[in-house]
Amino acid sequence: MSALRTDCPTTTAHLCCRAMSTVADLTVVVHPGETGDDLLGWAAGRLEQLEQRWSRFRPDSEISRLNAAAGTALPVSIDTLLAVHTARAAWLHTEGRFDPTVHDALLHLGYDRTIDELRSGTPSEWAGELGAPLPAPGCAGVEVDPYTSSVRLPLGARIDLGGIGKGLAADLVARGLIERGALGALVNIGGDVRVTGIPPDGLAWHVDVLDPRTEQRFTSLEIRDGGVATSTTLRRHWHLGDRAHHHLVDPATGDSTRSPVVGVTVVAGTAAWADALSKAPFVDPDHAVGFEPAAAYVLFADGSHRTIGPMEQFERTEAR
Amino acid sequence: MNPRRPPTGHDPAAPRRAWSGWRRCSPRRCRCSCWPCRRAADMHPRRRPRTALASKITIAGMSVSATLGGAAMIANADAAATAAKAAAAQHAAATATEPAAATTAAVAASSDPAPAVATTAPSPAPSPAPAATSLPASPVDPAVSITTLLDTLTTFAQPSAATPAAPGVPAPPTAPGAPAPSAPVPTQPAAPTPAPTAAPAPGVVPPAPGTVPGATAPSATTPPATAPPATSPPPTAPPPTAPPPTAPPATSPPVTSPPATSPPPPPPPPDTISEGTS
Repeated sequence: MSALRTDCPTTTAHLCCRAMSTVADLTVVVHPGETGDDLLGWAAGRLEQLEQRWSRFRPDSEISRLNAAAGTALPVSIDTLLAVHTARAAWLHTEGRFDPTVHDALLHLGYDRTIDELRSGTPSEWAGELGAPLPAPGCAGVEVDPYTSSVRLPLGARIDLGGIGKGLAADLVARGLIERGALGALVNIGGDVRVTGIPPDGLAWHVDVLDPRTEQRFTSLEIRDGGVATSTTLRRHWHLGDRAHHHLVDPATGDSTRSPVVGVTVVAGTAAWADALSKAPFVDPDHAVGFEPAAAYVLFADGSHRTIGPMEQFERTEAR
Repeated sequence: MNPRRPPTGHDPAAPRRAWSGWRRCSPRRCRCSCWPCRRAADMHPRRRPRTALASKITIAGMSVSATLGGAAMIANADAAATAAKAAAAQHAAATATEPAAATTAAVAASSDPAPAVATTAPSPAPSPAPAATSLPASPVDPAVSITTLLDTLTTFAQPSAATPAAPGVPAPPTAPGAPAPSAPVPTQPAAPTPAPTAAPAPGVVPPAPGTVPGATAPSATTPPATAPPATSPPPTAPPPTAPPPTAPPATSPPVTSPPATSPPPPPPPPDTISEGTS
């Protein structure tokens, strides 16, 4: 698990595990002589804890309890408080292009179980009840109270943290690793990457971005501290009846987005915000609302792409 | 409050814990009606929400609210008052049921997410700023103060920029400004080794006079298979490997000559890959 680098007085330890219905890849940089195993063990436990709190597929999670008690303020952990707060802030910042209240819309599209179960072909209980897509109600009535550590969802609103939960989990775990003595940390949860601290080479963290159209490397980024998130319509998709759906829902329509955008990669200060911002171009490809000061690649189905913000300062020049 | 003033009317039997000097009397537990205890109780942040705690909420709320575009936040005045009232009620309930021994209720790590508000009890003596309030913590995290939580919430209230690689990072071999390995380098063709069999091989088209060595001859001049035998080169044609009397111009490097430098090394393996499964 550990490998001592000869060109840098640090040790790097890795862990790859299953978390949040995807693969989590963790790297910690520690002092020579340390293994980092205890840190990675803590990180794995922390990921499980966050999934237990945030998964909408676990009926006893805090998110499930909040969804079941819409209209009532419920005490929640600080993690959930922060998650709902961040999701609501992203909803405001993107002017509704990112919306965590697409929970019911996802159910209407058949995404009522984990993606693994969906792909296994288990018929959805919603399959026979599909009517018109269900637009998301938005976060206007969501209340977050840090003083009583409680959250209240308005009646009719249920939330799905989804990708922003993975990004925030990467942020929290990376920060926790640093607080527990790691020199540097990289946490990648299904493409939502957070890097912080000293990288293995002492210079920069190297994050490759995969082009979902070709499954080849699209570019390579160099980051000292921040988050990278990639969203695509080409991975988490399923069929319900004769219609193909994917997990990126337009909050205004409640249906899977049908824009020409097939992939978005965002570089921001945190993985949570990178993930939230990566959803917006699917809804509105022509307007980069709320991206400042983040940067992004937007990939189109015709093979073209465009850049938003100062992406060039993160690119390795020979990577393209 | 004058610390030298004796505790008027203090009743040691009234508190829920033993009297150990009025300056150490905890206002969270002491129900004595003496003035120091009552004043200390009134000074407690949980019992004066509209002064210290409320202003703190408002200050923090302004910051958060401003970042969120002025949307209705929990930190507005009404919400702050409501939160403070709820906290006060919760505090009173907790006070009535807490064991009498504890004087400081720093939150221990607990898996119970219930917001059992716990506070660090201030001294009844001239108290400075209200003590930091601790909120329930996650099982693996230490207690988090409300200040820390508000800072964290503010951090995540808007996007921020990532930090790029430091300017002092050594540039990769093909970084801007570095000579590109594939750049044409005008080199003098190697001097041919005179050989007795300098005539072109059968089928090889001798370059026309004046053409650049190495350049592909136009197909229109490709002779048929019945080309002159190798032993009968055109008398005016130079040997294929013989350079022209003068060196080729610097702007016309040999097209087929190998690059002068080795190809760029492959980039180092990434630390991770962002492939968009979220």
